[in-house]
Order: sequence, then C-alpha cells, then structure tokens
Amino acid sequence: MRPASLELLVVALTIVTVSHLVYSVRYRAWVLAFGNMLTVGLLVRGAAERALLAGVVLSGYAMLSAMQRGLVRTRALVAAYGAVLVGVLWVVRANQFTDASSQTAQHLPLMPVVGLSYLLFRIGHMLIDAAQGALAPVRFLDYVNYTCAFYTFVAGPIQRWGEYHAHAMAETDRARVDVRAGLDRMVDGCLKALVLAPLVAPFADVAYVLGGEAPSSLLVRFAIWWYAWYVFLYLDFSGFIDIMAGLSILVGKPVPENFNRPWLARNLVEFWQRWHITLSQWLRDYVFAPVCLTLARAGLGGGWITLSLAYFVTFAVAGIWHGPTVSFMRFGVLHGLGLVAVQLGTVVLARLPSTWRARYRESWLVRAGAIGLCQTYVAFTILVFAHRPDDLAAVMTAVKEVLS
Amino acid sequence: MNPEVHLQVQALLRRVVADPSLEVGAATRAADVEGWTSLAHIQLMVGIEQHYGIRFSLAEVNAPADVGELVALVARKAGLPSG
Repeated sequence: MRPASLELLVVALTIVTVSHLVYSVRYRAWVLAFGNMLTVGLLVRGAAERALLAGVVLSGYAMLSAMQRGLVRTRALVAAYGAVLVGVLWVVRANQFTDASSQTAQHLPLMPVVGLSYLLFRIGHMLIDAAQGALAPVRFLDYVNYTCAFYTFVAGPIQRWGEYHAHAMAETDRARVDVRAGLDRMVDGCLKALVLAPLVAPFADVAYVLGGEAPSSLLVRFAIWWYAWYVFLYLDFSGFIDIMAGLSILVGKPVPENFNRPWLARNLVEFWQRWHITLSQWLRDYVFAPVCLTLARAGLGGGWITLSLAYFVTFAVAGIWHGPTVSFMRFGVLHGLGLVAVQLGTVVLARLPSTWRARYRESWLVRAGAIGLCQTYVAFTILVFAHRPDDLAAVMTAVKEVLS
Repeated sequence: MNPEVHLQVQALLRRVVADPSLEVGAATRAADVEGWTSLAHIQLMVGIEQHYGIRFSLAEVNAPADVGELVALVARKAGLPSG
C-alpha cells in the first residue's frame, strides 16, 4: 500500500469508524493500537523493514522506561543510543552522495523504510525530555499509539508527546469529536493533493520551459516554471497533511498545524515559522537552541556569529534527516546563507533610528517587496534541490539567448 | 515579581528586539511583542544566563509562558527574592 493512496484512506476511515463504535475510552485505545499496527503493517511490507521499525519502537520504549525508573542515569548512554538511531537512519536512507533529482521526477523520494525518520523525531524528543526530568511515566499502549499513529506515521506532523497525551487524557465523550471539521479538512486536502497538485506538476518540468516553439514566450514560461515546483510541493505536501489532520480530528486527537500561509513570509525566518512548522519547531527546540546555548556559553556570545553557526548545524541535521544527498546539501546551504542574511539585516535594522524602523515595519510597499523577494528565493532553493545542475544550466542558457 | 530582575529582563529584551522604548509587564507574552521570535527568545535567555551567571536547562528555556514566569524563574535560579 502506498502512503498517498485510496487504500490508506479507506483503511484510515475504517479505523475511525470502528473506534467510534466503541464506548469505552480504554478499549478505544486498544482499537486504535490495532488499527495503527494494521496500517503500519500494510505500509511496510518487507520483513526486514518491519523488524527494523519494531526494533526502533521497542528499544525506544525500553530506553525510556529505564531512564524513568532510574536504571539509566548517564546522559552519555542516552546520547549513544541516540547516535545509534541516527546511524540507522543514515544507513537506510542513503550511504553515498547521490543527486535526488535523478530519482523519480515529480515527487520527493520516498523513504526506504516508511515512517522511520518521523518516528525518530517522536522518540527522540521523548528521550531528551526524559533525560531532563521533564517527562512523566509513559504507558506502553499510549507510547505505541503516539509513535505509530496512522495519521502521523508517514509524513507527520511531528506532534509532541505532551500535546498528544493531553488529548488522550481529555478524551471522555465521542460526541465531542467535530466530524464536520474533520471531513472538511480531508476534502480540502484531497482537493489540494489530488486535484490541484497534478494540474501544477507539468509546469514544474524542465521540458515545459524548453519545449515551447516561440522564444518570445520562453520568458513567460520561465517565470511560471520558477515558482511551479514550490507551488506543487506546497499543494502536494500540505494537502496530504490536511487529509491526515482531518483524520486526527475524527479520532479525537487533533494534530498541530504544519503550514500557515507560507506565501506571506517576508523573510526566511518567517518562512520557517509558516512551512513544515512542526519540523522547524522540533529543530529549533532540540538542535538550534542547544547549539546556541552551547556556543554562547563557550564564549561566542548570543550574536549573529553564534546564530549563523547554529543555523548551519541545524540545516545540516535537517539535511541528514531528509537524506544525505547533494541536493539536500545545496538546499540546506542556501537556506543557511539566507537565514544568516536575515540576521545581518536585523542587526542593520536595529541601528536605524526608531522612526525609520517604524516606517519600515508599517510600509505595505516594503512588506510586498520583502514577500516577493523571499518567495522568489525560496522557489529558487527548491529548483536547485529538485533539478539536476545540467537541466538548470540548460534553462539559464535558453533564457540568456532570448535576452540577448 | 522581583522588580530588579523585571527591569533587567526588560532591558535585555529591549536590546534583543531593538526597541529601546519597550515596556513589558508580568502578563506580557512573546506574541505581544514585535520581534520576540523564538530566535530572539534564545538570545534573551543567553543574555540572562550571562548577566546572572546562571544556566538554564533546555526545558527551562522554553518553559516560561510570559514575562512574569520568566522573572520568577530567573529569580529562583539566581537565588534572589521572588517579589
């Protein structure tokens, strides 16, 4: 069963329906656990893959329990276990640098082991919180339902344990589930991912730019192509998330939002507060903040040098998580540079007179210009990620010929 | 709320968000202040650590919901009176 498929939708809706037929909150948890295992089993077919996922889930709980019972006290041991998990992710993702754009053209490459990378985020933050004494004891059934929830297993959102558990504890009445809201969200998601995204996809292909007969229209096609991959990615990804978010509403465990109108972002800092929000928040809290704190404490202070180094480390981690390929490296470097530029801009802005700063913040012209620049840059970084350098060079050569 | 800690936190926050006229109270949240992003928050916490010679855990960095809770946390860790 493919992650984005009608079969998954049918299985998911069946789980939702059956769970609503069960009155007892406790038995409903067991129904969800069975449904979650069934979904994972249908998504992950290979015996080795299933064994790997089971090993990660079970060892994660074993480590968590050991920490909470005081059997594991040294952070070094927890860090070593974390390093093993990261190593597992590295091995199953890719063990050599390849160009992601040489793989299947229209979509991001599927993970070799479906769900593993998102699973590591969920388990990872529980371990980090437990190491800091910020996690109450976790029941195994709740842990399984959280880490293997059918509506977040494939592509998130990366819901934190605390929020998930709060919904589970508040679950007393099935009638409180907003069925209409859940279904509306799913319909929105289907419209985006299954109708609009395929319509946009052809415009993202290099063949669209280079294939036209009239050179005069090449610039128009170039402009459309420049943004098409960004638009396609947004519709495809956010649409899938909308479907899963709708399902989470139907089971009474709504997930956090993952997208907040990224097209309104004025700079890259704001962009990452609006795009794949749960991922950027996780990286902010568990990678960026600790790196900043460590560097600042080491004597570099809390200024733009510390922030810049922290950005690069964070995007390196994000790159490894996506897959250690050249494409992701390029994407990460471009976003790291862009974020550093935003920080330098903030430093410059801080030195301007307060009236100038107020005028800058309130000017709709400045806002429109900033949004245009940010969106164009983001679209560029996605192009660099999605296309082979040869294809990009061919497009730029064709554009130069028209302009000259 | 410890007034001295409150004023110090306010001074650091003014520097971080580049607003010398900023006034914050106990109930002020990050969402109420222009420029108090998560990034600015980390800079603020680093500044507080350096000023008071204290050290926050990762959980404590993200825990305070408003200025009042932040001031109380700083006072507690620095061994200062809470109010």
